Amino acid sequence: MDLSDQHEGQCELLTNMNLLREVQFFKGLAPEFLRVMAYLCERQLFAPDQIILPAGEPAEVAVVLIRGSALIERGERCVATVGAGQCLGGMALLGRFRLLYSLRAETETECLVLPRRKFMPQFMAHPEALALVTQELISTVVAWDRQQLDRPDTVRTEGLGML
Amino acid sequence: MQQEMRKDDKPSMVTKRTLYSWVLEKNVRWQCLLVLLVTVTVGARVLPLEMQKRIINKAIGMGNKDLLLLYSLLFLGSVLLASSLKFIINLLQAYIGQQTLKRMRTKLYAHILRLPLLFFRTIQPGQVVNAQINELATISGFVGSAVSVPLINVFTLLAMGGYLFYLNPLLAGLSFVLYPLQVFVVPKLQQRGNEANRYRVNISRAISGNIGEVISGVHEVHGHAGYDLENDKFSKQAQMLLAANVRMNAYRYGIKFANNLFENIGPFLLFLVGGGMTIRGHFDLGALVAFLSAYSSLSEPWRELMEFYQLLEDSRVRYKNVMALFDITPEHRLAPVDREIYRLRGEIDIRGMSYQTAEGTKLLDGVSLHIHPGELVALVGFSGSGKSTLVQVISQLIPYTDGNVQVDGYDVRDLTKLDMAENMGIVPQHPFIFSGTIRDNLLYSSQASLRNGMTRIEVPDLDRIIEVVQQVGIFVDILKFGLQATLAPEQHADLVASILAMRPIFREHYGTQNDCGIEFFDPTAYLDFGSIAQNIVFGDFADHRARHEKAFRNKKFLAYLEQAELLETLVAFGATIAAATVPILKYAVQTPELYADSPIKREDLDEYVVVLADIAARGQESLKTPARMLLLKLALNFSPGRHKTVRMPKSLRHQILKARAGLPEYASRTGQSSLQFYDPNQYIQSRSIRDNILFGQPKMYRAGAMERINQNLIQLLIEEGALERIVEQGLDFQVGSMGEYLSGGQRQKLALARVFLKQPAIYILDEATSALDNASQSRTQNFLQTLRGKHTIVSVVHRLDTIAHYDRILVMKAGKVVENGSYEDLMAAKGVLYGLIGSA
Repeated sequence: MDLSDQHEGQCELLTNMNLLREVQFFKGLAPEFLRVMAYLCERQLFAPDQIILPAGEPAEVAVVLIRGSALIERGERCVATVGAGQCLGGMALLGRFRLLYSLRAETETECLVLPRRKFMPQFMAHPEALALVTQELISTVVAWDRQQLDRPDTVRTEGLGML
Repeated sequence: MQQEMRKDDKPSMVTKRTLYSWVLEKNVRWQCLLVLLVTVTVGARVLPLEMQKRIINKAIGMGNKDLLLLYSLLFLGSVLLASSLKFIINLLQAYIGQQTLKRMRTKLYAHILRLPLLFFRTIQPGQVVNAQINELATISGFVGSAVSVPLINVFTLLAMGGYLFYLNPLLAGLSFVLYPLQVFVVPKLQQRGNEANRYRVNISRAISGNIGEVISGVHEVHGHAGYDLENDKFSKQAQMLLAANVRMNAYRYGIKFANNLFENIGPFLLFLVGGGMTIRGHFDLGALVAFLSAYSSLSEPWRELMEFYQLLEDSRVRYKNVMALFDITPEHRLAPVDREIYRLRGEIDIRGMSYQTAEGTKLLDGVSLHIHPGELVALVGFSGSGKSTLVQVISQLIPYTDGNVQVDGYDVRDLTKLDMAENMGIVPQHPFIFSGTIRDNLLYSSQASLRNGMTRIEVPDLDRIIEVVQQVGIFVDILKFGLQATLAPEQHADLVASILAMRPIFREHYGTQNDCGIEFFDPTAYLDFGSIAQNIVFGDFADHRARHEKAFRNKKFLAYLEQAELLETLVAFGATIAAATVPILKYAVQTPELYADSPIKREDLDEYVVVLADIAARGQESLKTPARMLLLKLALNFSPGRHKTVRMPKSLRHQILKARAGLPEYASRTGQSSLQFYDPNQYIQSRSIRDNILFGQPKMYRAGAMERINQNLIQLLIEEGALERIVEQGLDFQVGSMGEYLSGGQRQKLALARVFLKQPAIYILDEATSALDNASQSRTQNFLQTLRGKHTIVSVVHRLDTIAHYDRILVMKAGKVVENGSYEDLMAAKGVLYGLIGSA
C-alpha cells in the first residue's frame, strides 16, 4: 500500500501537540502525557461574534486559540483581545468556579477545547504532571502578587491574602 | 365520586395478618373442591391394594382367568383415577398458591409505598426486592397445599392403617411402633433447622441490600476504583451465606435421613414376623403381599406430611421475617372519609415548630412564619441551615416533633395523603424520573389524580403540554428527541412523505449558507464525518441490527473490497491507525472519555496490542486472518472528522469514492441485500428524522452547529406545519432507567413541567432549578412570577442572584428563620442576607 501521501500534512494529533507544547501552563510536561492531552482535545470553530466561554456559567473547559482572535469581555466592557497560541480558562482544568468573563470570537476563530472531565482523571493518575501544572499556577499567582505589591496604592489582603 | 372511594382507606395492616389468614381468603371454593378431590383420591388409592390381594388369592390361587381380568382392570382403573386426581390436585394447589402470592405481594406493595419516607432511608431497595420476590415465593407453595396436603395424607394414612388392621392387627401394630419415635426426633431437628433458616434469611437480606446499594452507587465505585473494596465486602457476606446455607441444608438433609431410616426399619420387622406367620400358615401369602404393599404405601403420605411440616415451618419463618420488616404504620390516611378532598387556597402557618431526629439532633428549632395564599417566597441560607427540612415538613414528608404547621387552617398531620398530593406540587433538587417516555413522566401527576378518582382533573392535551414544556425550557430538548427518532415508513406514511417533501426545501433555504455545519449526502463527495464503511456503501443497512461496524464480517462486502482492490490497502491503513493510537490508549488512565472519540474500543485494546506485537515480531505479511480482520475493522470504522491520530491519505479517499460508484451494480448482481443506498427520493429507514430532512449529517467540528441546524429545522417544521407531529415523536422518547438518558438539567425541567401541568395550590421547589443553565433559570423564574397571586410558591433557592423579585425572603441559619422580609428591606438592613450575597 502506498501511504506516502500520509505526510502530505500533519495529522491533527501532532498539530495539537505542538500547540499545547507552546502553552505556558503545560510547559515541561512529558511528551507521552502531552500526547494524551492532544488526543483528548476537541477542535471547534467559532463564527465571528460567537461566545466561546460564557460569563457566569461554570468553567468546564480551557481553550487554546489556534487561529483567529477573540475578545475578553467583563459585562459590557472589552478587557483585552487574545490571539492564536493563547490559552484561557486553564484553571478550569483543576477545579470548579464560575467564569468571571466572556470570551467572544472577534473573527472566525478555531480553538482547541480542553474539557476538565476528560483531563482531570489523567492528571490525577499522573501526579508528576499535576505537580508541574500546579507549579506553573503558583508561579503565575506569585507574579500577580508581585504586580500588586509593586503598585503604588494600598495592597488589598482580604480573602486568602497574599502568598 | 372521590368521596366514595377508599372508605377502607386505613385497613387493618397487611403485616398484622397471620399466615393462615391467606389460606382461605378468596380460596374457599377452591379449597372445598380440593377436599372433595382428596376424598375420592384416598379411596382410589386403597382399592388397588385390595385388588392385589384378590388377584393372588382368588384369581391366581383358584386359576380363574375371568376374575384375573376383572381385578386387573379394576386395579388399572383405580391407579389411573388416583394419578389423574393427584395431577388435578397439584394443579389446583399451584393455582391457589400463585393467586394468593399475587394478592399477598400486591397488598404488601401497596402498604410499602405508603410507609413514611424515613423508613426508606433505613432500608436498601435490594432488601425490599428480596422480600417481595424471593421470600414470599416460597410461602405460595405452602398456601396452595395448606389444606389439601395434610388432608390427603392424613386420610391416606388412616385408610391404609385401617386396611392394615383389617388384614392383621398384630402386624399393623408392629408397623406403627416406630412412628412415635419419628414424631419426637423430626420436630427437634426441624426446630434447629428453623433457626438456621432464620439466620440464612437475615444474611440473604443483608447481601441483597448490599448489592442494591452498590448498584445504585456504582458511579462512586467506578470513581474511586472501589472494585476490590466492594468485592471484599461481598466475598465476606457470600462466605457467611455459604456457611448459613450449609448449616440449614445439614438440618434439612438430617431430617430426610431420619425419615428414610425410620421408613426402612419397618419392613425389617414385617419380614421377620409376617414371614414367620406365613410359613407357619397363620397368614396367607396374598394377604402378606397386600400388607407389604399397604405398608410401603404408608411411607409416601408420611413423607409428604413430614415435608409439609418442614414447609410450614420454613414458611412461618419467612413470613414472619418479611412482615416484621415492613410492620410500620403509615403516618397518614390515604383518602378522607366522609368528606371530599380539600381544595386549599395555599395559606401556610407555622408556629414554634421544631423537628428533632430520632437520634436527638434538632434540625429545625422554633420556626414561626406565615405565608399568604399566592405569595412567592424564597428560602435561603447556609448549607445545612434546615431549608430542605422545612419544606419537607410543610409537604408532610417529615413529621415535625413540636409546635404546629397548618395549611389553610388544617394541621398537616391531619391532612390525608390525597389532600396533600392534590394541593401541593413538590420538585426536589434531584427529582426522580420514571423509566418510560417523556410523556409518561409529564403526565404522571395527572394520571395519578385520575386514578385517585379526581374528576375535576383532565389529562392535559398536546397544546397544554407544549405550553408548559416551553415555559420550563424543555421544549427544544423534546423537539430534538423527536428529530432523533427513527420511523418505520409503513407506519408513518404521511409523516415520511412530509419529511421527504421538506428535504429540498431545507437544502434550498439553509444548505446554501456559508458552512451550514452539514455534510450533505452527495454521491461524489467524501463524508468526513462518516466511517470508511459508510463512505464505500454510501447507504445504510435497512435492517437496523446490521451496522456499518459489522461490515467487516459481511462476506459479500469483503469480496467487493477485494474486487475493488481495497482490502489490502485498508488492512494496511488499519495497522497505521493501530500503531498511532494504541500507545496513547495504553499510557493514559482508562476512562470512558478516552474512548469517546477513539477508533479503538476499550474492549478491543488488548487484541490490538497483540496484533501490533505480531507485526513488530514477524511483519504485517505474516498476520493471520483474525488479526487482518481486526485491522480491517479498525480501518472501516475510521472517520477522518472524528479520529485524529492519523491523517487519511488523499489516494485512499479517491479509491473509496471509486469503489462507492461501483457498489450498487455489484450489489444488484449478487442478489438480495439489506443495503439501502442514499437516494434523495427515498426515506432512509435506519436514519433519524433529522438526518432524513437534512439528507446528510451534522459536522460536529463547528461550535454550535447542532444548535443552528436544530433552529433551522424548527423554523422549517413550523413553516411546513409539522412541528407538533415531531413533538409527539419527542414525547415518546424513552428516558431510560431513572431518566439516565437525560441530563441533570433536563431531569429538573421535566420535573418542573410535571408539577406545572398539575397546577396545585402550593408549589414547593427545593433547589429545583439548581442544574439549569442561566437562560433556563431566568425562564423558570419569569414563569414563577406569572403564577404569583394565583399559587403559593415556597422555593429553596441556591442562586441568590435570582431572588430579588420574590415577595418575601426567609433566611435560615442553624434550623431557625433569622430574617424574614422583602429583598429590599433585608438588603437595606445589611444583615445575614446581605452577608450571604456578599460572599456568593
